[in-house]
Amino acid sequence: MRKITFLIFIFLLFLLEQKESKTLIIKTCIDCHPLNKFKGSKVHQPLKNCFNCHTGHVSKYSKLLINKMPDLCYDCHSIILEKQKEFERIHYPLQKGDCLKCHNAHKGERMLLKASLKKVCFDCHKIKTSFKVLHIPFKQGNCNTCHSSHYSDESYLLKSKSICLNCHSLSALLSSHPYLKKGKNCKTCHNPHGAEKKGLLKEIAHKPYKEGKCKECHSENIKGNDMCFKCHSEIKKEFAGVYNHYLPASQGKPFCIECHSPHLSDQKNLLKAQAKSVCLNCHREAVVQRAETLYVHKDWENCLVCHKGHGSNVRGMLRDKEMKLCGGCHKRHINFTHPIGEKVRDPRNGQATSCMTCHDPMGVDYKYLLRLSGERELCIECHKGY
Amino acid sequence: MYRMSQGLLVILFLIINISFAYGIERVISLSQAPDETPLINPHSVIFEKNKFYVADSGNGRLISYDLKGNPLIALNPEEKLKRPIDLAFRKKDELWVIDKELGGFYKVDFSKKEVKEYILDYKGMRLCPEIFQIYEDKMYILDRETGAIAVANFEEDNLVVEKILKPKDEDFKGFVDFRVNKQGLWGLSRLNKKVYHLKPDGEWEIYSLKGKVILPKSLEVKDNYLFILDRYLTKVIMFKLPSLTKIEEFGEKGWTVGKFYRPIRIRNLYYNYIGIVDEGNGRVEIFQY
Repeated sequence: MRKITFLIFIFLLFLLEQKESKTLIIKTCIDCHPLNKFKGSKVHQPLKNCFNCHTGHVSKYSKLLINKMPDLCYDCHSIILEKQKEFERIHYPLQKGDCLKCHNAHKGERMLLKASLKKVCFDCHKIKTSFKVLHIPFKQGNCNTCHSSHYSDESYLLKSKSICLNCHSLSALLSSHPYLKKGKNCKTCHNPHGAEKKGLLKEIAHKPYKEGKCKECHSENIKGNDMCFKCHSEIKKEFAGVYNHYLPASQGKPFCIECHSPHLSDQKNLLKAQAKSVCLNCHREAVVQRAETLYVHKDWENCLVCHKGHGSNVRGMLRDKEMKLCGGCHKRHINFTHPIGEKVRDPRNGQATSCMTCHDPMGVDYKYLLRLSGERELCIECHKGY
Repeated sequence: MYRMSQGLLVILFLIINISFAYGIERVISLSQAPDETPLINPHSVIFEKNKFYVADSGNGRLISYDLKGNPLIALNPEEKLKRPIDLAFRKKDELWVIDKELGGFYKVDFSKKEVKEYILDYKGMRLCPEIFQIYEDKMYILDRETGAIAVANFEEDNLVVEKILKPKDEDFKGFVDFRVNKQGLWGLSRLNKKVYHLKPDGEWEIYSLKGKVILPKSLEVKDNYLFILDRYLTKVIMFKLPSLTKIEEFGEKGWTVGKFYRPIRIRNLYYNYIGIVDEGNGRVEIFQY
């Protein structure tokens, strides 16, 4: 019995000592770092002991962190790292490992967000908010009702393909949409954030739809791409380019609807969404390149400034040959640059030199969008003797 | 004794690995025409009659090379080719070429010295050929209109589409490349990063490359190895089938010989020689693995 009492005493002493040492550590830290900076409605759990994340003396990392970011976060939140491998689309700050873009390390709002969810999202996503009619979750700033904040397989990081049906029951919708099937894309006609019209309907209508001439497109005799090309024959010619967006027409539907909305849209040319969103929905490699590099062209998000939407005979579906295309904006530069053109051959591969020989607008690690360091590395690729 | 055998096993494993890692080497580059003009946007390469043939799309010509990679002849039969993007021999004197501008095929009959056009349709729908392969005297065509593989028979002087092969997968978004061999048909779908395998018994099996590649552009299947050309990574990744275990990768981004800038196609040319068509560098790099 005496032995047991002694052991309990030792154990309590040990606990007390632990608590005291922790208190001592925090006390030492807060001598300089005022405690009110770490107090709030939501506090990061490791904050009980500063040394969970920081070292007291020296560190290779800023803020005396014990590991580099985001690895430090992943030490505990490893699930976030693991899950990224499972999904096709990752939120850009997460892809960049910039957890602190949205979260605070010490205290914050729910989920340690820097501010309210609405504010955190809208700080980057400068989207239109002034609509006559607003979707309730959007009005309330509950972006995460529909969107996932870290990763998803769906475009716009939507939580699922049929996210709308989470609130709007299919059976209720069927009375007004008799053709509706599960998985049907409601965004084709409705703007999920807001609109000027009742029912969140989009503004710009396809002419036959506006005039109620459904059979102009929907007829028994015409299926697939001809549903569109029947009227837009001039567009069909654009798809004859060597590099084109000729896509499979699936289940009798025209492939055009991969990018265009056949009924209603809020965008020019009845695009389903802003051009960048439409393009990046499939061209995920461009998103990866942007995340992995430091510099991108200022028009990186305006794909159609440089690329054609349907087809082209120029590699990369560019609007024109590289020099003419770049020279269209960089007028001064095209006149005094390093010799380029058909007569100046790249010694590495015998190809004609152009702006793209040295620059890559899609994403690089060097200033002026240079493919390699302009201080030496890039030049000596060709100028071996220097 | 146990430790010694363990050590021997480790050494054996290392030797196997090292020999495999060093087993892939570049042997030839095909980069010029006989008149020393460079290739512009080459699209495909084949090996036939102990020669390499390249579709030099940007220059509207076909070029043959000897086994050492020396250019032999550049030809444009009857000056008809505008944008040749793929080619294959059916017989010794019968060459088939897809011309993008035509939106169909040219058959070049060397013995008769004639060139004929073939536009394919199936059930009233015009096909848009992109890539093709002739296997056991049937023509397999990747059709952009359906995203599927059209199977055509040579009937007298005609080419008749018999059927369209397409997996019954809701997620299927169309093939970007395919190969046919004795194991069946292998199709690569870029958007969903899947390889579809149509087995000889008519069953489709699916291999998901999700998380393994970024921009799969072309595929090749040889024995139990799957080669995927990833255009973004500028690498060829080799997987062991059916486990889809990654066993090797090679290739590096660059502009000098042996490197890739915008690789577009991978083809097993003969035995263990594999060709990578790089439209960016205007070259075909041939590797021995």
